[in-house]
Amino acid sequence: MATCKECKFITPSPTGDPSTGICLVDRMQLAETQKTKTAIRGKMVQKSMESCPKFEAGESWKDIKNLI
Amino acid sequence: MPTTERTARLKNRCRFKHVAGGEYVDPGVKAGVERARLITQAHKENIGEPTSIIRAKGLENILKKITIHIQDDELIVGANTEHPDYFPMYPELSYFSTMDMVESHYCDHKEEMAEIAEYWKPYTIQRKAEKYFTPEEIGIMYSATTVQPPMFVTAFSSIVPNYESVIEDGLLKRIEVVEQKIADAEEEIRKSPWNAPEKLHYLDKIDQWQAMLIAMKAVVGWAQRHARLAKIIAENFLTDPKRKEELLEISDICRHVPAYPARGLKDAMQSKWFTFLLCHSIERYSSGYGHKEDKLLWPFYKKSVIEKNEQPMTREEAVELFECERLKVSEHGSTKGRQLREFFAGSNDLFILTLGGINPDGSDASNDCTNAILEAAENIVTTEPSIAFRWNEKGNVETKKRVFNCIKKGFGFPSIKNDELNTQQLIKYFNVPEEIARDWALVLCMSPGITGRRGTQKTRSEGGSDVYPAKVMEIALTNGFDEFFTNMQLGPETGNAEEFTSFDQVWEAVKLQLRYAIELSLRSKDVGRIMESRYLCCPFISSIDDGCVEKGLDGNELAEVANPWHNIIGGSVVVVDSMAAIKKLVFDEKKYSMKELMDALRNNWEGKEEMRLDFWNAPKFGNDDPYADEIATKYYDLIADEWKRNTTYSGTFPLPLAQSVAGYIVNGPKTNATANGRHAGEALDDGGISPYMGCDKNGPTAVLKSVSKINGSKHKGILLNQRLSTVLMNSDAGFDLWHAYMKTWHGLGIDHVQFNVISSEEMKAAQIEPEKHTDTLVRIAGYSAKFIDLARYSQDTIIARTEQDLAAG
Repeated sequence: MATCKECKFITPSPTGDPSTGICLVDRMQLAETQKTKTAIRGKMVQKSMESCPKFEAGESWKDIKNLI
Repeated sequence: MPTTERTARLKNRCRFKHVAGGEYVDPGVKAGVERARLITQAHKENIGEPTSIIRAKGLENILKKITIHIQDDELIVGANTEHPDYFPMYPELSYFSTMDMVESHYCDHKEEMAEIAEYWKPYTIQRKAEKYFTPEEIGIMYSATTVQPPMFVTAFSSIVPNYESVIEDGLLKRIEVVEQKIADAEEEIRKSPWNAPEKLHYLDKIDQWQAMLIAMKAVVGWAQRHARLAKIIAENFLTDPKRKEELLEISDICRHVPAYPARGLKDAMQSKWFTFLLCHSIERYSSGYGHKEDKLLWPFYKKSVIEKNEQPMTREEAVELFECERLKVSEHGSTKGRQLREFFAGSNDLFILTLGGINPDGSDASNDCTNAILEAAENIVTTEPSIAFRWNEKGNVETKKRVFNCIKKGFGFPSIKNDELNTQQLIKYFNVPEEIARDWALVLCMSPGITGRRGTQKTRSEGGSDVYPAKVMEIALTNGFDEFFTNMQLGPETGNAEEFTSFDQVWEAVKLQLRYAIELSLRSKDVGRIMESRYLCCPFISSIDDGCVEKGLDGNELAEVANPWHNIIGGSVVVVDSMAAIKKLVFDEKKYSMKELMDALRNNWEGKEEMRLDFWNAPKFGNDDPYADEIATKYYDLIADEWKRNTTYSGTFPLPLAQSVAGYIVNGPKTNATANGRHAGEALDDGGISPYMGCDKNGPTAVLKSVSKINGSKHKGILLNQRLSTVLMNSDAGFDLWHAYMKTWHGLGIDHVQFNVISSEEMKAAQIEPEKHTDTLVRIAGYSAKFIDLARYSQDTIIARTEQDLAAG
């Protein structure tokens, strides 16, 4: 399974259609007022799209700390 | 600690199947291919036969040929796959789900499984159902933004099997009953004079009954295979006399059940387990562990443990058996596509059993079997199965103390449902006779349904679609178009919020977007239901329901007792708080315009921190604040009314059920900034009515008062997460304080509550040194999970929940 070590974009993905995925690269540390620490701006991506330069083969999902 | 050395060993080598980050944690977990291979083989050989017969012969082929196994130390035998590390696959359900698995690293037989998936593609309920939707509708549903993808693509289902009929009758008696039905029908169609309208319906019924016979006979044969295997192992491969004796007893049990009625607790447990495997995992995949276990097993517990006249055993042995059951469930592998694996973050599947409540005669239903089940849960410390406890005023204090003991240890279960409220609802809304209504169990996480010999839920098409309200509100402000995540038109054009000049216009837009999402999801469920009844007959599941046998109907088709509920998943309180902030700051005080708000939301509050804090500090639900609570009341009434406009397959209107599973986590990144002061991509609210993280500041009683203002009788359930102080819960006054809190909760007529009892310090320590916290459990929503199996984003949402001080009131 191809995954991206930085953005953790994984296919297949959490939509109903395995050809569509979600990119989780865009993260934001939240203000002190918020009780949670991080926001993740998801981006819908297609498996058929050209992968970004960060995309590589591997099993980075095993490092679950950065997933959702 | 596990009660015995046996259960300690079994736990130590248990192949847990829970997931993290959408993947199975145990690297040994694989996709088993035998079920898929055998059902495909049977399908090819029987094509042209009636669907019910094809399905029965598929089950027969699986049960005759699938590899069976018995592991060391097991007291309960049987599995859904050829290997304890595996989960089965269901190519007949969804092409997408199958291909998702085929392409994953779990599948070692890629070529064969891809071929099987392609063979089934035109026969799947996915392909059968998709044609009734436009490409735009398919796009909306599959994007998993405003609604959950439909069951015909996720392959997700849930069921409450008729365990009672198997355990009480035995299958051989039921085979006789069905044979008689066929004989009677054959006689009827030969009576003079010929009358087509009165006779022709028997043709379909005869097919259904024949399919039931094939299925039940195959099940008896499958149990006999286990009996033979146990005997062969005992007589040929064992030197330990004690284990040899155990296996010979297991052999005797499998020879006896499910063919005959259960004699004692061991028979009942084994018969129940076989039935569970068949209904939840072998005939088709269905989630859940819905049954009222203490009611079902109590007669056998009495015979074996108390009276000791059938399969006599000590109480400790009974507790050990319940511990074994929990480990069997933990090892049981379920197959879900990635979307659902992420939706159940940290869990294997949604296995929830129900205890407590009252008996049909109105007496307290908690008994020593209830206590033994709770004791086993307390000892073995597994997340699954989760337990729901029906809190009734008549419930005895001893059992409630055992419930408390599990909660204070931080298991997150039992979750607690208001018994009287939920029983009355089954009577009032679904016309269930009172005696039957009193035997309810949760169908899955939160929704009560009847148990017993007939009329239980057979498919999740009866209910259980999901609408995601925060995303619905987001597009209600942007003319139905999703600017943030999909760039798609997800709903009707209801106007741009910049042009809204009154709060009523905001409300109306949300209402219309909700309406669209609700109707789309309901239609997808009912279309799926029709496809299930046409193409996915379940002859065994039908054969154990007295109604299906009597009427010669498949369980997917027969809706003898309607029970339609549909979920509003994680985000309701974001909507309520956002509405309150908009009303107050834009329309009451006129401090900001809708245009300013929309600009700020589109830019994720960038450069507008002061404005964001105004919205963040606006009235929030969960503080007994009339301003926010009034909007909450109106919102929860709105969703009930919107679902009520519709009539579903089973002929009545559905009720909503507000909960979250892990949807509040998964849907956070798909949802733009919201007017409650939340950033884009921040998690949503974690329950169905839990205050937004960090926004309940007035103590636990204020939360209960806010929640009690919602008319719970209009909802099938409303999930409330609460986090309690570990210090107080573990103090000498812990039970008394909690019991007083529960009495307040009950007195206010609130539907549900569940607790996390874990300190922020412990969770933060577990983040740093996870290997030292392998048994630290937390409650997510309708299920519990090991804290260390959650991703950091999810862990933080548990830490962020307000820790309530019960002593503070």
